[in-house]
Amino acid sequence: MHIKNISRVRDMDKKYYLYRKFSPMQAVKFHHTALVTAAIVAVGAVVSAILQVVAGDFPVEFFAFPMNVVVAALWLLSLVELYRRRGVSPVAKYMLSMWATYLSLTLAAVCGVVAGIMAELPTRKWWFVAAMLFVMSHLVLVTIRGWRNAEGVRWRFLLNHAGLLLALGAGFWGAPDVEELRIPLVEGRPTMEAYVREGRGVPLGYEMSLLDFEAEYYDSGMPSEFAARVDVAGEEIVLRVNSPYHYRWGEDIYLVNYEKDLAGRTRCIVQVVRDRWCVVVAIGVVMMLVGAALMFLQGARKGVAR
Amino acid sequence: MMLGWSILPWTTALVVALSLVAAVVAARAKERSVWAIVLAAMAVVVMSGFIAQLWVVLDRPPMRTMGETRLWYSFCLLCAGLFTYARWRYRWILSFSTLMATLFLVINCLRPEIHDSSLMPALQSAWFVPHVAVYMFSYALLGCAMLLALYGFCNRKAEVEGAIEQLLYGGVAFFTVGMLTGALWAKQAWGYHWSWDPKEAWAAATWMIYLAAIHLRLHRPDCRGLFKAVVVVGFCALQMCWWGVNYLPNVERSVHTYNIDN
Repeated sequence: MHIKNISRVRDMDKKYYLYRKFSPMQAVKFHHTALVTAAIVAVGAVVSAILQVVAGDFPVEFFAFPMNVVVAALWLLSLVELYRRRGVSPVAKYMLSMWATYLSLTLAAVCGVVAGIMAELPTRKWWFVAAMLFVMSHLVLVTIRGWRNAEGVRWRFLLNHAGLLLALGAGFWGAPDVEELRIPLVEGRPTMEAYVREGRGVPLGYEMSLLDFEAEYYDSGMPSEFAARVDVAGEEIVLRVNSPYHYRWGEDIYLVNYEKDLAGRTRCIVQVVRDRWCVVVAIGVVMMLVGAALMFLQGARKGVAR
Repeated sequence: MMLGWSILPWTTALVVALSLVAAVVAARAKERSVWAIVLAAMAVVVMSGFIAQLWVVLDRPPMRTMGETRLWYSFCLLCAGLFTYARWRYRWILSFSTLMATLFLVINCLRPEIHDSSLMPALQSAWFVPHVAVYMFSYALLGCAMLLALYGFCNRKAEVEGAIEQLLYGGVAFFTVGMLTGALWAKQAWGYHWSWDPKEAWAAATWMIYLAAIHLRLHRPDCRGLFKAVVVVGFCALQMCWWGVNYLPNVERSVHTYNIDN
């Protein structure tokens, strides 16, 4: 679709960056956009509630690789197309507006508060997934706009927003692919079987056995350190808390806990976490670290990247 | 004279005395007072001396218990107040930061917790000190911002809002680094960058509220009252994040519980 009058569209982008006094026209627009925002929240809440009742939790397993990559790609492409139509599409205009920003921040804060209060995590609820999707969609759009239009603190803006998008996105889209397997190891008994959180047994794919376990204690009886010597697929490694073993890309082995069974033997619990998206999260984290440093060093600057 | 916690009351008296005199001198001086800065700096030195000797006596970084984080908060608050005064010359900021630092020091004196010497294995990591220290410093900057916001409700001046904004940028920057170091540490400790631990979740919520303040300031600098109100609300969320989570019913799920009786 050919967008006529490109300069008018560019002016519209700049409009978001310039401070204006509140005119009567804008008062009307303010209330209109406020209503739209309220409508989005109401519709979203109702639809999520219905889906929750009808379908139970969000079907995370359905989006295992490669489904999540395919859907994520389609989502990104449609957002790019939406951005291209920002001159004419009311949806695009809303999703690029400050109202969408405030709504995103509020939704994210609500997600945090609910997760911080509830005993059961809301991460598989439809409303939570929808809120996260809204926040990320808005982030994609403002990042594209920031890439195209921002001046001044452009790099700081991009590092912060794109970094958050990468970290959040990898966590969100990669969640179906994360595997957490626990293996109780008893000295002298090699095993190839692991257990998922639900209790099901799963083949590990390689053999593990506990060679030795050491625990040191403070005088008060509290443990000060524990270390396990474990044989993993023929290789001897030492596992400590805060010192995992990097088995292969996206797979790390952690020493989680230990217990003594009735016979007095020590059983230590080892956790294998398979998370292939962690690299993307790490990149996003590093970007945000640099962005934060720039926030501190540069302070408040009236750059165009609002 | 290395006695750990037992010299806290004397230290408190000395620090409060120095800070109070500094605050009074600053409030009465027409321009930036060198004496106020010197006295406030002396208070900071005394406070750091106390923390240093506590570190040696406990044989671990004093950052694990609630009482220990309150110490760092008082220390960082004195630093942040001094920095704000030196940088922006607000006559009243030293009074505010002294008041707040005193409050937390007095709380520590009144609640003599039995301080355990041990540091559990999960906390024995190079991430421990940076993660906690960066957070405490951000809490202090954001605390100063909140104090200025309350002051700004009574005296509406553009420069006050400018100072709040700068403190917010600094505070949010350090808070972000605190969150991210937490995520990197969590990945190393149990394999997940983020597990929606109650403290993490409230930190995210606090972060969002402060980001909203920053965005509001960028987009609508004329919404002064709302800006200050958001800053205050953010500080309330920060308190929840810092110590409120320990009193919530879902605290069993958390790995961040301070041992309140320890």
